[in-house]
Amino acid sequence: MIYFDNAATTPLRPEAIETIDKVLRDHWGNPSSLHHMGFEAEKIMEGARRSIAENLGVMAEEIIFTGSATEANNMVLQAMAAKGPHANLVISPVEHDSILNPAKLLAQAGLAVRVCPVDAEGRVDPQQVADLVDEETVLVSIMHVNNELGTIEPIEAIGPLIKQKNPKLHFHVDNVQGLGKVPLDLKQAEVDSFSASAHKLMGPKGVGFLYLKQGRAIAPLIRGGGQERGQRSGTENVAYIAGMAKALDLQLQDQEARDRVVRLNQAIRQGLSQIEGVHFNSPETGVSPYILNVAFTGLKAEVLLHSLEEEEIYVSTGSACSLGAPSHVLQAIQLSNKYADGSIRISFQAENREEEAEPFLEAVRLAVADIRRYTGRGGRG
Amino acid sequence: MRQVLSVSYGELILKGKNRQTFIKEQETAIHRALRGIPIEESFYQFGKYFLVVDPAQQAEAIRRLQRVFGLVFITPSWQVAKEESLDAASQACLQALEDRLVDFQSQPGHGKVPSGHGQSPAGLTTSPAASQVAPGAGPSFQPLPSFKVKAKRADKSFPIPSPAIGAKLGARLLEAHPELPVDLKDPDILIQVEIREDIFVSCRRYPGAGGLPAGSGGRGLLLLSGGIDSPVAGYAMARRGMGLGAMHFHAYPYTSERAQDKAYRLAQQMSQTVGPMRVFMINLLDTYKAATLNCKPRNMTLLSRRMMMRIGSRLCDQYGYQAMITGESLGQVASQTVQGLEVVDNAASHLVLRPLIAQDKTQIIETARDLGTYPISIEPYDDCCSIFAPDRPNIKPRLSDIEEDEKNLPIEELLEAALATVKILEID
Repeated sequence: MIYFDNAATTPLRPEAIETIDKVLRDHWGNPSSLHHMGFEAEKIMEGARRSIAENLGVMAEEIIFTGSATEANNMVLQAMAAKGPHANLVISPVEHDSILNPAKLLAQAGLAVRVCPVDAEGRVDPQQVADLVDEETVLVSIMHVNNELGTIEPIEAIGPLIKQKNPKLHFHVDNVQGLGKVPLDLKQAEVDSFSASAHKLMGPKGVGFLYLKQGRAIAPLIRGGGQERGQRSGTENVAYIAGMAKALDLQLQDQEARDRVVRLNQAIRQGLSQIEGVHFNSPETGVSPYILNVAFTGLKAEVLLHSLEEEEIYVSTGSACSLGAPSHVLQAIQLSNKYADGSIRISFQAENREEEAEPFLEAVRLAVADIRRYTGRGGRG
Repeated sequence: MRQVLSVSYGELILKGKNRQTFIKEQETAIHRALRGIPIEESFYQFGKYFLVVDPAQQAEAIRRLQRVFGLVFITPSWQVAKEESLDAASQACLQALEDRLVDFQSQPGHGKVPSGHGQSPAGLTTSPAASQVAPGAGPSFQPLPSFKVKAKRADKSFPIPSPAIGAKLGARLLEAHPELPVDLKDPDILIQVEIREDIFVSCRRYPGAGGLPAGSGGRGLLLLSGGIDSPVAGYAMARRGMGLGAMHFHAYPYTSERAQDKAYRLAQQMSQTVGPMRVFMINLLDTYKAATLNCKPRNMTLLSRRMMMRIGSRLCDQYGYQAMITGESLGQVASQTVQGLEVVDNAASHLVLRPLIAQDKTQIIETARDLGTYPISIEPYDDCCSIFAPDRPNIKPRLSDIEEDEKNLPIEELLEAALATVKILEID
């Protein structure tokens, strides 16, 4: 099996599974309970919080555990609804749905949603973002690494420019595809909050966190017992939180992982470029090595996906042909239909190996030729 | 006195030599539909079938029975033993009357609305929709509803003649409700009294799905594409008593696994109404590939459908189906021209039934909604028809031309290859 759909989700690191297993078996107490069982669970959870904070160079109190990055994004965006109808927010058109859909909700509530255009690589221009900011701007939300293209947004340049114009605004970053993979200087970027998810980092699904800068408390989305300092009620998923901390720690320790992924990405890019009618949707520079989005003319991506799946090779499509339209990201970069129909996303994780490149390329070459032969519409009329 | 459900069979199954077989099949279908609802007792009296179910579950039982083919009416009734005399029967009539009076109190401003008869079935529309009265259309004054008691003796040995029973019971009701007018010609509330081994009193009846009991009309193999039409076609035949199997053609990996799953879920949904089904999944990719390389693109749909007919005919022979069923409707898509249908038909060695041939799409969609298959059908997963569909299909094919083009295909080989991919899934 070759699994190259890691931007969707990753396998778990064995160490993360062991950690989760141990906590589930031995430390299943409620971290809010006063007795010993609760105290033990609390110690594990706070240890995980400290570990994540140290790895990020932030304070432990700035980490709020959530059920997903989608939840973390919703927390920040939906909190802005209370800011009143005169307020506005600035986003990019290539954000994840967990930003775009809450933004639509805010628009319905009367807030102005300003969408900064992107270039052909899916990147915003920092100055253009800043130009959209005014005194009434309550939120700027730009993702760090685009989940379809891998494009790195200029977060570190945007932060100072927008804060200069309006120091009070909240700068939120969707960091799901960036954390542990593409460095981000939170201080330089003047980030107020960012979202993260464990299952993109070889940790478990169903857990994530919001980094929320001290002094930037927001109205909670979920109310109840007041866990997570009132920012996110609900008994914490201690085992998965511990598994997430473990996965992030290993990801950051593995200095060579990134180099391996870079080499694998290059080998695949090089191999694919030999195929006729290929077009790279991912930029060449300013891009995460973990994501490679590529288009083939004359075929439907979904057919390629299923053909590769028969060889136990897994990728994802940039557009489901059955749904008719290309993804909002491919639309935003105005990719021509010639390419949009045949776009697939290849995405890696730390444990992928360079040796996987050649069998992958061979399978793609065969499948592309086969599909073009039968559905290329070039037959006798 | 207790509450029972009376179930009226269609007349057709009461006649003929196969009566006993039909009745057994009908009972099986009834009990299958009521699975999960405990039936305390079931019995016949003078040819009518009665079920005793928990009154709390009665509404659900009626809803489900309305989907059983072969039933004309479902009538909730009060059962009174004859020994209990007409006094007990008049008690039942009073309950029935008061039960119906509630309808009139809850519908202010309406004239003669709730007749208690002809309520459209909870699920499927099998006849033109019952006429509806626009809300608020009636005058604001509200006449009291009139009533009538109508008696019928299935047991002719019962000493009192029917009209006299009706008159006696009617008089008792007037004592309790002197304010209500009696209307013998067109009453708002009709209370029916049937004398069988016991006496049965009813004031409402629900129309059944009609048609013929499942399995009484042979076995047919449905081409189940994943679209809107084919489930409706299967339903139409099942309603006339045909037992169903289904075959779904896919072209994996050119089509998604989810397309097959969609077809399977459609069959599951259908089986709630049409009974158990066997589903055949067949990969037709080799045929599509061979036709792409060797034949004219505009003939693709016709060539592949002819192959489906051949495969279906083989499955009919092997698994005991007498006919194939398709959801084709004349002129609906390019391949469904009269010429196209003839060319496809020609490849089948079994009867091909096309119950929707003269139906409009809007009609078909309406039935698909009632059947509950519509939301599944409109899910976006491609079936092989759409992936390999030609840009400019041949809408007026000539058989000789198609046969000529087909000479470029190793038909027997492709047929065997496709049959080797058959996967069988059983529902129920």
